[in-house]
Amino acid sequence: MKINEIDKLLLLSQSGELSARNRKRLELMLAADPSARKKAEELDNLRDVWQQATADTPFPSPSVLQGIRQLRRARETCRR
Amino acid sequence: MVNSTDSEAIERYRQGDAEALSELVECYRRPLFGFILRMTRKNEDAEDIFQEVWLKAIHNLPRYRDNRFLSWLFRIAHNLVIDRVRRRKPEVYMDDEDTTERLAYHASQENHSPVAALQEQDMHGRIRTAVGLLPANQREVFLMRMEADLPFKDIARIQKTSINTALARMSYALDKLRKTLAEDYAQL
Repeated sequence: MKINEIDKLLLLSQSGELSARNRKRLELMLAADPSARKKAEELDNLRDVWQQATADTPFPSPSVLQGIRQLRRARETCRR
Repeated sequence: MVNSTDSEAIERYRQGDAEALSELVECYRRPLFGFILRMTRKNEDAEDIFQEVWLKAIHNLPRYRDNRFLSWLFRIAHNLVIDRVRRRKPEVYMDDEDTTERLAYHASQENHSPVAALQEQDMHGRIRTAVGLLPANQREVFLMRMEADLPFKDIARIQKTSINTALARMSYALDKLRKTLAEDYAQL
């Protein structure tokens, strides 16, 4: 699997894992390439769009959470 | 990514404050359950695995020494999802059983292509379906980024691969979404 340099820097920038030196390189690349700037904007918006698209994700049913609570209590009893 | 609230809650739990665990479960319910659900595609399996993740977490919390709690939970979830889908049917992890079957059915009934079926949904539905059509490894990276904002370094560790491969999987996923969603993606 291969990834081009600008995509890699864009992804690392979005995840907060870009070094200062690479940040400078990315700034220069973005200044020179409008399509890369568009990709950067898309990436910035994608998370919000995904969160909106999945806002109605069902939560686990109450019995699941109840099961976790019961196990926690059981473990506490064992510890004592 | 050290979250001091997590560390405090974990410490409180270790010292016997049972409420601290409920706070953690509540805090990470959405990203964790959303991830598991979209990897297993079955609500029943997702609920089982979600519960199992916390049972394992409770069991291992006394020995937990990491400082990336959410990544740790996702690592447990990743392993449980793989175990579950392997037991169920190996190809399920690699293919989109529900979506592919649904789209194929839709196409045969309506004489439409899967692309046409995608276009009949609203934009949010199209995005969810398009993500569901991604290969599992790419979908997993996408979800870890979008649901939980995990760093690529942690994603690579969870997938037992290099950071470059994790980055490439995300890049491939985005390329596929760009193609599948075409106009929707252009509006982002």
